[in-house]
Amino acid sequence: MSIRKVRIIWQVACFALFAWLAIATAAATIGTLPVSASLFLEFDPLVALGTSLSARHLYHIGLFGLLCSLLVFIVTIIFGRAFCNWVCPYGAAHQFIGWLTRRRRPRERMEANRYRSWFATKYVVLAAFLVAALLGSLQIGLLDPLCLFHRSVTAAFLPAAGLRDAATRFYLGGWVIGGLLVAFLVANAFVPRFFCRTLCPLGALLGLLSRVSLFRIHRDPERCTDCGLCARRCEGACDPHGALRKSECLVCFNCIDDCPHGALSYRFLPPRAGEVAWPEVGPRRTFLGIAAGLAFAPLARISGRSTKAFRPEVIRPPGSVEELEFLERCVKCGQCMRVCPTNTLQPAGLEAGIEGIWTPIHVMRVGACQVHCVLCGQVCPTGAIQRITIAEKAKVKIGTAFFDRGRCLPWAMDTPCTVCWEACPVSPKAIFTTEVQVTGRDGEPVTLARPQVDPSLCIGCGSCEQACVVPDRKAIRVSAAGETRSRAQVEASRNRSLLLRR
Amino acid sequence: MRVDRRTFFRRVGAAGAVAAAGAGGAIWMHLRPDGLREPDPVRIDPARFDVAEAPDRPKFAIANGKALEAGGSMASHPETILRMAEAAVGALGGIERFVQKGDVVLIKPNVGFARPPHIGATAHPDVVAAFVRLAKAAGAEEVIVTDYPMDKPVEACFRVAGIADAVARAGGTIAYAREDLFEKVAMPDGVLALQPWPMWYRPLARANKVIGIAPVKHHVQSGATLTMKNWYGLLGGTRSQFHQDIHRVIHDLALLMSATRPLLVLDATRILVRNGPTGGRASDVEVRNQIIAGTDPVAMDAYGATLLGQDPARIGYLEYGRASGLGERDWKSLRPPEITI
Repeated sequence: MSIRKVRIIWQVACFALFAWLAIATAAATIGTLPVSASLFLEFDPLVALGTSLSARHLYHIGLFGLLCSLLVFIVTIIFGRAFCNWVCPYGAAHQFIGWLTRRRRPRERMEANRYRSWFATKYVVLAAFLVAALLGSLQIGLLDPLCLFHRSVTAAFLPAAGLRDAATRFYLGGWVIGGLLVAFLVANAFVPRFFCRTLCPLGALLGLLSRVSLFRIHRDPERCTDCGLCARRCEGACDPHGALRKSECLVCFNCIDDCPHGALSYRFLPPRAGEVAWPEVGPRRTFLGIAAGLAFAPLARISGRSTKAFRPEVIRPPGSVEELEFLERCVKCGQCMRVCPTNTLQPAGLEAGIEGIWTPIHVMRVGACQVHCVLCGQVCPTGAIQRITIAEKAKVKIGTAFFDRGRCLPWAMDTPCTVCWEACPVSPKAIFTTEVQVTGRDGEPVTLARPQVDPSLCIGCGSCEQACVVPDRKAIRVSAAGETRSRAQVEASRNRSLLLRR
Repeated sequence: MRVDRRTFFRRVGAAGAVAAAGAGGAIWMHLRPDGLREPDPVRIDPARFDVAEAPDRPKFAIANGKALEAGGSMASHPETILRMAEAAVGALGGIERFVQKGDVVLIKPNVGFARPPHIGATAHPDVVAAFVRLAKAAGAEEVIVTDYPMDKPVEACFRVAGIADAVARAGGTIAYAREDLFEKVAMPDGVLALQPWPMWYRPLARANKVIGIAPVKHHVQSGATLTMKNWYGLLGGTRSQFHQDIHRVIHDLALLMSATRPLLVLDATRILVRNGPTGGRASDVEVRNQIIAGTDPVAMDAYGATLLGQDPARIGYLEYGRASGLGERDWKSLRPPEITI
């Protein structure tokens, strides 16, 4: 069996594992998982590097957490970008679409797999992201393949496919997330592995590390006849027929099988003389990338949306760290939105500012936050949402409910209601009523129980907003005011970190 | 230009076939009903639910669990609870009066919220399991347990309340409510507040026997929630708007469901004495160790109200129930037997 076939089997197995985890990461089944629901994210070196730069912290849930990414790091040092073609489920999806839509004539395929200078864009993207992270704004989640794929599967693919618990879910703005997924996948029909070659910041990071990789593709000049057939199925467009671009080689092993002269092999410490040493980015483009990262972070903060001018709709999940730290940690992977039983966690648009795109916020109109549930913190790979117990959650306030007396039936329409009072899950209830006698429009007396919120008891769970009968804009709505996210929670997480031991 | 006959027929024939297909399709589409008319509401047929009248039997019976006292009903005592259930139903004529061989039994417990059992907001899983087992022992072919909770998603409520596990172990199946499968149900004569209303009717359509299991709970809006309000869990649509006339609606619902001649159960193993219907603290719950079974919803709810320290005469739906003849509010006059296990 050729090594290429082993690679295919391994790749399919990893994709199957990803698919299973994606479906099984649901409130009903997550307790049965033998591995972490965010396994792939924990092995992602870009998530580890990004959060280390922005939050100065390597978060762990369970035994190892983001430290697992060291395994991928070591594998890359030894073998090169094998992760891209052996493990990455997003890469597997791209490869599959590329294979389905491949050109028929060998000559055209060889041409499609030729290196293009704009493949260097991903290094510029990586530079911009890492600089922005250094300045405290973590945006790697936008293009990191695992964050992107988790988010797309959660917010677009599973609901659209109507699979299991996702059949009745929806995600606001999911069409954008899904549209991007489709666009990137379709791009493979024009440029094979378009995303992997052009945009993937994780691929770029692993590509840079490949400089020192011990195992590399070696072309024997005695046997090579310059036929170029090795480029027929080259996944990385790394020019195996010429000067190998090791930073682009995805270790797919297709070229070895395709060479009719057996000139290609995968060797330990081959001579690097005939290789292109570094990706051809150039100082000008590198500078532009760094400048973009430098400019982004401060520009994103000047609107004040992350601090004083916070929008009341930005209600973060219980256990979240405070907002500036949250934006240093959230990789927009959507795992919290996936596991949340009530579908209340939704990807933000611009409510939390431009940095907060696709970070999770509560939309109480869609669902409330169940009192006896702490699942979101258990799947967050970076500690943007801390792991808390149900007892700890009882002390957390994610917001406060406010009545809109112009809409509330007992206040505005002389009609008894108070479903909100009934639905309030805390004890003593955070909603209380005062009885009044009024005369209705028809002259008949009506006894009304008029509800009010006691903000000292309200935890902002949204059960009242969910229950309210006013169908368009609810008569009681939760705002982020009064949330208890505080510096104390961040300190608690630092005490459990690897970088700052007590 | 000359066209030979074969070519003529071939080409005119092809054009004619396309024209005929298009015209035929258009005419067919035109004649189809336009799909806007709503289907007729479903009617509950009392003849399907043939539960024998037993005038010599009490209208309800109370089983006390003295054996539970030591551990309190906070812990799980499934065998004692099964004996209590058996005793209470035995006083009514035994489970055989209500379930015969081959029946499909629908059990409707209160699984309204995703709260663990000790909060007292939902029916105790052991009580639900006990009735599943009793029904199966009486020869039921299928025992379906269902509810349409306030909290969503539906399966989370069954899971957190411990009912999913308890029913599975007792040999029943759970029908998880689906909003896209609700059907409009017609209301019987005498009902004022509800028109044909969407309900979670599907499991009821398959059943020919019904058991309702309601925990005894304080309710901020209606005073108490007992066997009559328990049927609320079958209502779909925008049921929250019924709180504007809650007592009338509770009565009408109980009147609707009386057509199924249900066996009614009050789960007073532990009762929620304040901050109902959701509760939230252990101190809201009191242990009572009682299971009450019967056929008179008004009498049983009046008894349940006294357990909560409330005056039945002040509960609106009980007054409606007394006035309409649904049941007897003066429960003491029925002299319910008390059995101690």
